[in-house]
Amino acid sequence: MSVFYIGPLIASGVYSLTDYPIIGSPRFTGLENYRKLMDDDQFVHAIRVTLIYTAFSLIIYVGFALFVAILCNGTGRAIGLVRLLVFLPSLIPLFAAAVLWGWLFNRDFGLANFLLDRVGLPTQGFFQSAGQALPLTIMVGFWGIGSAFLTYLSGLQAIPGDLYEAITVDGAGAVGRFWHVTLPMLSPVILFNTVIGIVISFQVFDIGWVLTKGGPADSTLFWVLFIYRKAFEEFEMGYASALAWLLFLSVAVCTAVIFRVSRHWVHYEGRR
Amino acid sequence: MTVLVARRSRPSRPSRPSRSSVARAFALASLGVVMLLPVYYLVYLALSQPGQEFDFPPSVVPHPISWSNITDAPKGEIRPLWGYARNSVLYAGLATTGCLLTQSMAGFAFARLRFPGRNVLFGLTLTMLMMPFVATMIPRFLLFRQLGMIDSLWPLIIPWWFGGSPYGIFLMRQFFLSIPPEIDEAARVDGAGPWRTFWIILMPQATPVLVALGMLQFVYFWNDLLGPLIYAQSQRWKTLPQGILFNYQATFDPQWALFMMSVLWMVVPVALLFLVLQRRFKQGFLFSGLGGR
Repeated sequence: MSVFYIGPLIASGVYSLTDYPIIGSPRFTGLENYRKLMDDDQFVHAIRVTLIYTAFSLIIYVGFALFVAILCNGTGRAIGLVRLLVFLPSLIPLFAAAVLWGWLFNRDFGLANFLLDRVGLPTQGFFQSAGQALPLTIMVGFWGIGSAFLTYLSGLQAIPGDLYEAITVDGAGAVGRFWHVTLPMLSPVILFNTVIGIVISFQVFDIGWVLTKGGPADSTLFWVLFIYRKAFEEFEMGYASALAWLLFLSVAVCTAVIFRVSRHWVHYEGRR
Repeated sequence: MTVLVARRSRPSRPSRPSRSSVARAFALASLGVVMLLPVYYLVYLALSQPGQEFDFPPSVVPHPISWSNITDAPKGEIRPLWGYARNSVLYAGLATTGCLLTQSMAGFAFARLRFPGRNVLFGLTLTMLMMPFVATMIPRFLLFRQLGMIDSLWPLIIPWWFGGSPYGIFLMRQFFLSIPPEIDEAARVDGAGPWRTFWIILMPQATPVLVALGMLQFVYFWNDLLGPLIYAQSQRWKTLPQGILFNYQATFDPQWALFMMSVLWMVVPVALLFLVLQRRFKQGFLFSGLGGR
């Protein structure tokens, strides 16, 4: 299994040290590519866009999803229905979901502008506006919490009910129950979703590719979109490989830091 | 099981709805409404008269409602969707089964077994998680071409019977680590080896997480477009996403209403599956036995 993962990683590491226009063979240039990207204003901009996206997406994917899962954890009528409704948007295949969002927020015939118009507000550019495209792309993430939601829900179900009873007997309220039982018992899943959240939001591509193509005015130029442009539009394979390697290293460092810090807040019942 | 559940929820609650329970109901209701938004629009378009999807001004329900879309969409503009559906069921079903079996075993090994190089191997698994799919796509394609498996569903299924993605392994590891080790120890004292402990003691506990993982993987395969685009090349093996795009978007005049109705046909069975399976989001019986009751 690792052959098919590690092989290409090393290959792109080698390419990153070359000047490789896709036609012709790579020419070794040492660290030239890495020096170049330090001065690349567009790359610095792409990193900034990606970091903003990642920060807000993590709040949604890790935080908001946890809140929703706790809300949907109890028993009661229609709880199955609400769970389904939360999960339902994640069931729509991306090739259709992207079309739906694009139309809903279309400047000319979208329902969003129609409703704004009805209540007397000015028409918005949405995905066609440099100021709104990134926040809107982040906002669409609210409907994409399905996977985090499900893993949280299964984690919540694995918490022994006795723990809650014990702490309630000791006089703890809802906040105490959350802080002293739910949070520590759920911490392995929180760690899981944090790592997954970082991996997927650093590598966000599809949604930007379908909805905005990085625009308008590069306002949604994510890191991977930038790599894609360099590799498949400008055919600078060496430079693109350097970008990809830097992306991989950044995610790896982030994950390593999170794992190191996790020793202080993740509680493993099964490893004492 | 029912008895245990009933016993757990017995602690007396005030019969009058408290303020917090009203707030919770309100939060749940508004959450449901907001989450429904894209789905509502999907259904709206799916039931529109073909050609009138974007009529202005839009109404709350499409006018007129074109019920015949429901039966028209699966017939396909060019080729019926049923053959594609069969391939999708095969791909998603077999790949998900492989995932659940092998990823839970690998997760168990990382969480419970002690073997040399465990941490290095787990680090490697996480590394794979961080690698963009595009990087592994090409060598994998070359491998399966050498094995002569191009133009079949095998390249999409086989990897998942060998561990597949790091995602599930990581999730299962996290889950097994959260189970108190006393359970294993009790099994070991009774003479069960790791294999028996895994199958008889731990797997029944894992029902909620297996349901979640199975659901997520199934949806991923069911909706996967890129994988089949690479490997399922002839009409005989193409899956639903390919079939829908082929019938309704690649044509000269895209039929958006029928396109969305086909997508709805894809979503509804999985939604029903979820509705049935979400009842399984209940903890295994062993947990309720901990704590000396």
